[in-house]
Amino acid sequence: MANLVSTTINGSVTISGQMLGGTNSDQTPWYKISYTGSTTAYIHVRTPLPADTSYLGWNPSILEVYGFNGYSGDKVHDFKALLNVNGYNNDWYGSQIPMNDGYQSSPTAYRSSSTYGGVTRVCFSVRQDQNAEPGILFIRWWNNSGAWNNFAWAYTTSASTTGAY
Amino acid sequence: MASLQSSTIAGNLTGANYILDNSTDISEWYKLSHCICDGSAYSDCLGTGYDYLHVRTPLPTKIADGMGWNPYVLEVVGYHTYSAECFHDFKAIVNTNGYDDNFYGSAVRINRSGAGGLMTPASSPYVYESATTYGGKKRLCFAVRKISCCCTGYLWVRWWTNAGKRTDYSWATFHSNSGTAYW
Repeated sequence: MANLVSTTINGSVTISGQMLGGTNSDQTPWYKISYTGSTTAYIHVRTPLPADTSYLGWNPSILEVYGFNGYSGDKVHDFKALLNVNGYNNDWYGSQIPMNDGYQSSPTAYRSSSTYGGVTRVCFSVRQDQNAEPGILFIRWWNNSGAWNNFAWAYTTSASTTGAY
Repeated sequence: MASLQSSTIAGNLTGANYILDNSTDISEWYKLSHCICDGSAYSDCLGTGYDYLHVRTPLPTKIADGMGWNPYVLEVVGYHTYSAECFHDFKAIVNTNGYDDNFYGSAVRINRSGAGGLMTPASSPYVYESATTYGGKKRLCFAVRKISCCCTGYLWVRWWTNAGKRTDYSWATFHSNSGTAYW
């Protein structure tokens, strides 16, 4: 792997993998999930971000989600959630969503009840259109970007806002 | 320094410092942490810190520096502290009068700072020009709310156009009991 000290590209650069950006900014790239809505009320996403003190202990991240489901913007998602874990006892209290400009989105951020790859994970749910129409979610987080590629992503559906993972 | 004409990268691209897209002229996000723990009478560590965090950006504000009639967008995202007591998510239009060099860039046009533990105004963003010069330049500054504890908080700052001025001067932060002026 080549490591450039510095470079200027006069034309365009195309990246088949991920553009992780400048590490000074500590933001992940966007992760894209394309799916087809189902008759179940909520889609749940399990992120690679551990929901324990390994990353989030007294060190909150901002989870940002943007997307839609349905041909007519039936559900539109645009929220930022602050994720945090008590650094003393590992308790989760990262379900704050202080910014939500979505439309019939009903976002919920939660910690998985089980472990995946040995750790509990940050998960969230948003509404589906329940009409088997296309949906796309874009997801990233701010702070703790080093957890980006540690574990696999997953998504599923559920009638409830939490508990799918 | 190597200059490529174009490139396709089959794997990932990581910038150990920063990556700029000159076609958009948007600066990369710059991450700031804040906690005023100097142990003086007004210190977050002592629970006696002030209510506002002031940030001095590298951006100059004067005509001589190319800022007259050159409006741009300042964007800020961040939080303080663990439960989003203060949550920041705003865009401001910044400008300097090209005739008389007066700053009138305090227009915060989009404010999605939401309702944290302190509720509105949990962010209270205010954009201003520094009263004095730093590195020989008046600078673009802004203030946002914080709470008085030595708790984690981060701000991410970028601007749309004038990206090249990102590294011209150093950044600075400090706390104040005023939400409108410190620097």
